[in-house]
Amino acid sequence: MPVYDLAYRRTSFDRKIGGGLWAVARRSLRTSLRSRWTKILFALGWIPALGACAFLYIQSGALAGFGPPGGRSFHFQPNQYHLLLNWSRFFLLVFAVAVGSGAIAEDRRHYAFELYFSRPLTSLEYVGGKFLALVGLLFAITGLPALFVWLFDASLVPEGEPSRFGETADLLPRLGGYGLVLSAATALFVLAFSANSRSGRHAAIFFAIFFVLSQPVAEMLGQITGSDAVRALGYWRCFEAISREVFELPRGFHGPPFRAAAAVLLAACALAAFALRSAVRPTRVVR
Amino acid sequence: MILRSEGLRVTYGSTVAIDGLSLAFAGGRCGLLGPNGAGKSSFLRAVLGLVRPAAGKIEVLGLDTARRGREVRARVGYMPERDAVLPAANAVASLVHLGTLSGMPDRLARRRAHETLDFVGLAEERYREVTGYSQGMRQRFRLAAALVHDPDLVFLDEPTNGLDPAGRRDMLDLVRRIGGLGIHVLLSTHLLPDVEATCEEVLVVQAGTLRLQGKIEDLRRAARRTFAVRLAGDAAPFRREAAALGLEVAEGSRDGLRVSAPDTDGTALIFRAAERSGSIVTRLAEVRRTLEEVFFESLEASGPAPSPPGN
Repeated sequence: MPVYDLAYRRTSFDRKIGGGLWAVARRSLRTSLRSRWTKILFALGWIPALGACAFLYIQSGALAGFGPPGGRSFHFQPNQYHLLLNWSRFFLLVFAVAVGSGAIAEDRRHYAFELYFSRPLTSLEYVGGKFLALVGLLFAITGLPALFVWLFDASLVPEGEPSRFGETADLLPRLGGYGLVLSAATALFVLAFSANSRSGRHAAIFFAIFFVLSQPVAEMLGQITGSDAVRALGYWRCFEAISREVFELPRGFHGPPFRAAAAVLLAACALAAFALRSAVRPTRVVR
Repeated sequence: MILRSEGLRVTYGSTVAIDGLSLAFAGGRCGLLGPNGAGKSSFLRAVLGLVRPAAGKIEVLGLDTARRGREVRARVGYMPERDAVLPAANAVASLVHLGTLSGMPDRLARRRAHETLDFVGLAEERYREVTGYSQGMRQRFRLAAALVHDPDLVFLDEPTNGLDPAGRRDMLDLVRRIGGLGIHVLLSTHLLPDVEATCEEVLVVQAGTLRLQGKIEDLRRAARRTFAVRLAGDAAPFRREAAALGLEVAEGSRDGLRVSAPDTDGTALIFRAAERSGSIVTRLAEVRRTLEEVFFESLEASGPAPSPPGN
C-alpha cells in the first residue's frame, strides 16, 4: 500500500483562468444527484414517458406480433406529444422546486459567495454554471423522455417495414426545442427566486406560491377584460399556448394566442434574468 | 513590492470608506490593524477587485487589480471573517472545488486538498460535511480554503474570531508557519496581541487612512524612549533641569517618574539633569512600550497621517 507524504508544500502549476462556469455546473450537478430525493423525483419524472412507451407497445400490437392481419400499428401524433409534455410539466415544477430552490439560496445562507468570488470566478460564470446544471436536469425529465418516446415509437414497426425515423424526423427539433425552452425558462424562474432568498425552503415556497397563483389570477383577469391574451400570464396557459404552436395544434378553449404567450414568456425570462443577475454580485461579499 | 496602493479611495454612495490610502507592503507577515469601521475590510475588498475604487490604484504581486483582477485572485488566498462554507459538501470536496475554481487541474486540486487539510489539522475530519464542523474547525477549514491553490499572498480576516484560547494559539501558530513557507501574509485584525504574536510589520488604519506603518520592533523603539526613574530626595529641581534639556517628565508608578527622551542618548541626558539638580538617581530602567501603546498613540495623534516608507 503506498504511503503518501501529505505535508503541505509550495507547488508550481499553470493556473488556468476561465473554466469557472463548467466547474460550477459540474459541482451543482454532483450535489443535486447525490440527494435521494432528486433520484426519486427523477424516476417519477420518467413515469409519463415510460407509461407512454408501454401504451405504445400494447397499442401497436407488438405483443401479438403487431396486430391483426391488415390492421395498422398505433403511433403517437403531435397531439399525444403535446399531452405527454403537459404531464411532464407537473413533475418539472416539483423537480425544479426540489433541486433548484436551494441552488443559490443555500450558498447565500452559508456566505459561500465570499469563497467563490475571492477566486477568479465572475458572477456571470457562477450564475451560468448553476443555470446550465439545472437546465440539464430539467431537460432530463422533460425533453429527454419525450425524445425517448419518439425513438421508441419510430422504431416500433413490424418486421420488414421501414422504420419511421425519417417520416417523423420533424418532431425531433420540436420536442427538443420545446423541452429546452420549458426547462430553461423554469430553471431561470427558480434560480431567480433562489438568488433572492436566504433559504432554499423560502425560495421553494415563494416559487410555488407564485406559480400556483399565477394561473387563477390570469384566468380572473381574462374574465374581467374579456381578453384571452391576458390568460398567458398564467404559467400553465402560457406554456400550453407555446406547445400548441410548436406541435401545430389549434388554440384550446380560451387559450391565449401564441404571440401573447411568447411575449409574456420573454418578458418573464428577462425579468428573472435581471433579478438573478442583480442578486448575485461579488460586491455583496463583505459588508 | 507585494502590495501597493496609491491614493485609494473607496466610497459607498455618500459614505467614504477609504480616503486616499497609500501603503506599501514588501512581503513577510504584516498586520493590518484598525478599529471597527476603519476600512480594513473595504481595503481587502478593493484589493480582491470586488469593489471598484472611486480613485487610486492597487498593485498586487506586480499586477494592477483594476485590469488583471482575475489573475490577482488566482494568486492570492482569502480567509473571510464571516462563517463562509460551501453547503452540502465535505471538506475534501469543497477544497477540490475551490482549487479548480482557482485554475488548478482536478488531480492536483484533489492532492492539494488532502495536503492542506492535513496542514491545518483537519485530516481526521476531512470527509465530514463542513456545515457540521465546530467553530474552530470551520476557521481551520477557511484557512485551508485560502491555501489550497498555493497562493503567493494570503489575506486573513480576523482568523482568531470566536476561538477558545487553545484554538487561538494553534491558529496563530499556523499563521506563523504559513509565513515560514514563503507565503506572504496580510493579517487583518483588531486584536493587537495576534499581530504581536505573528507579524513582523504592522499597518495601522483609521477612518480609511493610514496612521502608522513599520516594523513592530522599530515602532516600539521609535520616537521617544521612555525610562522609569527613581530619585532620592526632592524631584522638583530634577524636573526643572530635565525640562531644560528637552526631557518629558511625568509621574510614574511607585513614587517614580516616567521620563521620555527625544533621542537614543536618553540615559546621558537623565544623568546630566540629575547632576545639575543635585539629585541622586537610585533606579533607572528603560520601559518597553507595548504595541498597544504605540497603536493608541497613533490613533490619538492629531494631524495628517504619516506617509508610508517608500512613497
